[in-house]
Amino acid sequence: MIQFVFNERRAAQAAARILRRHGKPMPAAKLAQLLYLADRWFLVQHHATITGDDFISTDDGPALRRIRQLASGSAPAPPADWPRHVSIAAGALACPGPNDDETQLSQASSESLDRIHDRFASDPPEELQERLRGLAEWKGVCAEDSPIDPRRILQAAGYADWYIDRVQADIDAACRAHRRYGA
Amino acid sequence: MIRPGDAFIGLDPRRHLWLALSSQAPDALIVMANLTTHWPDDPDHMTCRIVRKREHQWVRHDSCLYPKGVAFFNAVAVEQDVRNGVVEQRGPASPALLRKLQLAALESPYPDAVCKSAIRAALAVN
Repeated sequence: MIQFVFNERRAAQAAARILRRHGKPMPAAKLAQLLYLADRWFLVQHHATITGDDFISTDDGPALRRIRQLASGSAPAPPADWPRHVSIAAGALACPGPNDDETQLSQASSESLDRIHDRFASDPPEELQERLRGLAEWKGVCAEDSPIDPRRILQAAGYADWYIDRVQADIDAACRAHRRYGA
Repeated sequence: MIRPGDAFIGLDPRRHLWLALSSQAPDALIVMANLTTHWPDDPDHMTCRIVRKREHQWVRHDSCLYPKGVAFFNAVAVEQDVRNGVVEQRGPASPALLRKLQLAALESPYPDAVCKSAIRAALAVN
């Protein structure tokens, strides 16, 4: 199983970039869906993710585990960076102010977030959910949320197992070091 | 104190060569990155700067920077593990190799802005 390292600050900055580009409040569920699509796109195109979050299969479709909690305000531990970048107003999410801190975002991340926003942000919520439920990694409606191995997404995108093994070796090495020594 | 170009193995179980690409900040943070095997047939590696075997004593075959792994590391934790024998320090990168890796990181779209800024500052000093 490929496992990345979740970076809350980067995730918050990614959410804020989408919200700023949107220019108006966005329902929490839609923001979570767009971030899922952005991480998935980044994985398929660049063999890494933006937020480092875990992919999970839920009744509503595939999702990012911590992003879903942060967006819905149900994170088990008080988030440190998310509230500085994302605020709740009238049941929707927005940027709390002119905070354009994007120090954690790479050029490739920013381009991917913009692409996903421009492609999917105007889709009706039901259509977006159906799109997510149509993805190969969704495991269908089940009693509990279950993890999705990012390998499954790469396989569905057409990558051969030998190539995914090579990609995973690099990801595993970097993530092991980041977990122990990363700031 | 870890300096730009200092090299280590043992930071990951696969024993990649990790190198410091920036100076150590007052808060003990330092930008580090690892080398990985260069695959000539891999689209990801088409434009990378290849590190040849002769360019560092620990490089056993053509390698390149893994740009998605460039990140700030806690230098104190790395040095502690060197003292504990978990991590081994190797001979530092030559100025030419350090510059090649710094430029590779700066050219890549993957490292974030803060990492690039720290690398750029070290590049200017060297």
